Amino acid sequence: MEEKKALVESMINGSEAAFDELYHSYSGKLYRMAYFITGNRSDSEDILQETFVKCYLYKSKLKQTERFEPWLYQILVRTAWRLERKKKGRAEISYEGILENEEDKKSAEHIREDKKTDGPLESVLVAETANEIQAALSNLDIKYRTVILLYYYNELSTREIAHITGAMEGTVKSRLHKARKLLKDLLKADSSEKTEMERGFCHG
Amino acid sequence: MDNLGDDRLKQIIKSELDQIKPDAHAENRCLREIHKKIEMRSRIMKFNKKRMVAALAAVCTITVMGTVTAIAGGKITGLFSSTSRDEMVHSKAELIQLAERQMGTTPKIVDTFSNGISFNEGSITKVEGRDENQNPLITYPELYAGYGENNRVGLDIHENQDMIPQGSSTVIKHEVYQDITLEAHEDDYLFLPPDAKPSEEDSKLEEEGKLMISYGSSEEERKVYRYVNWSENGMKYTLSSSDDLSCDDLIGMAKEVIDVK
Repeated sequence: MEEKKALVESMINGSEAAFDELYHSYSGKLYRMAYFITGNRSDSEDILQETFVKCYLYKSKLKQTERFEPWLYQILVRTAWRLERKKKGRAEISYEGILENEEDKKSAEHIREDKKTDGPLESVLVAETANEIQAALSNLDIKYRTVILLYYYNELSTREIAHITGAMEGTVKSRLHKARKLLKDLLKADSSEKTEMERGFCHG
Repeated sequence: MDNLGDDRLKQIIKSELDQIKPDAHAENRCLREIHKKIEMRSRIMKFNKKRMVAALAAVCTITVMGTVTAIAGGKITGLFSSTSRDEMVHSKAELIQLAERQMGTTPKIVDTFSNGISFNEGSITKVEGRDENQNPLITYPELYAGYGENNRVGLDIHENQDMIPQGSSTVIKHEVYQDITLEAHEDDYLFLPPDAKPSEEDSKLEEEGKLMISYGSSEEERKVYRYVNWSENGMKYTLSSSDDLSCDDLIGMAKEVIDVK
């Protein structure tokens, strides 16, 4: 821990060697995080590069060296979101709000309407294979994937996530709650499709 | 969701992500790209710092193919320089030695200002004044001395360059000290990512010369850039800061530079 802190301090003072060492130490984890958010390797590499470029250029803005890791996460998340916004044809995304786009709204309405899907998520999770859950995760909107990532993979508190994503803690809690619901909904829908297919196959 | 669901989800995400590993070759290639981008962006940031001198006409002599000399009328649209960390020296004495060798002069450099801001590092860089097509029109050496934490104050010294007319910065204050005229300037800067568009209001301010918009930063940022410049013994001195130091603070520090024997 102290060694990392010393490295961060050296980097802030302009040591490229310290920067390189920090890169080697964090690049794997950050690449995986970028991959989880974007779902593709090419974007993940771009995000990783941009994160470290910003890290070096704006190193003087890091006031507390012990906050280096969440600071890096913050850069990565915002870089990934910016890339996503660009890919959506520069459509504005409000990071403060939730359920901003039509797909989100439809999913949320679907959850509200279908009371039968209101069972606990864990019962759905145990019934699904890891691949199906991964597919469902990849279908979530980027904001929900991000909050799921930071909460379950990075094991950060909702307060930390709020700081990283620039949202209120209440918004993070709401996103987390809705992300779980959407996930459950996607898994249920997938499960229903499979059942339909199986029925068709049996009768066919 | 209780612990069962949480744990299952955590386990799935971790096992999925643990399989994602960039190979060592890709990791090193990425690092090389990162360094290239840092170098490029640092250059842009330094260029921004040095002020856009767009639309300032300059007539200068250029050498074509090393043999033919031609006179070209060109507009210097920017001053470019880059410094590698390896070229930085960390003592005032070392920097003065470099200046004597590369600039043929002994510039005045303060070690520690009376407000406690101390010399941090410095270098001699080659500055190019380029036209809009990136053709270098003039080249000259410049001394850079960074002071304080993260080089919050910069002192640039170069030989007077007549071909670079003064920019249109707002002069906040004039003061004569030891028969030397000190001019304090203040510029509002807006740094934008390369593909960003300024708002209508900012574009209007730019047209009116009240805002300098520079592209190439990673995120939108507004800064007030203050600097004091003066000429002494054929050398142009610029003391600058983009943090909370006022023009009066900078003038006070400039006087301490002039007082160096």
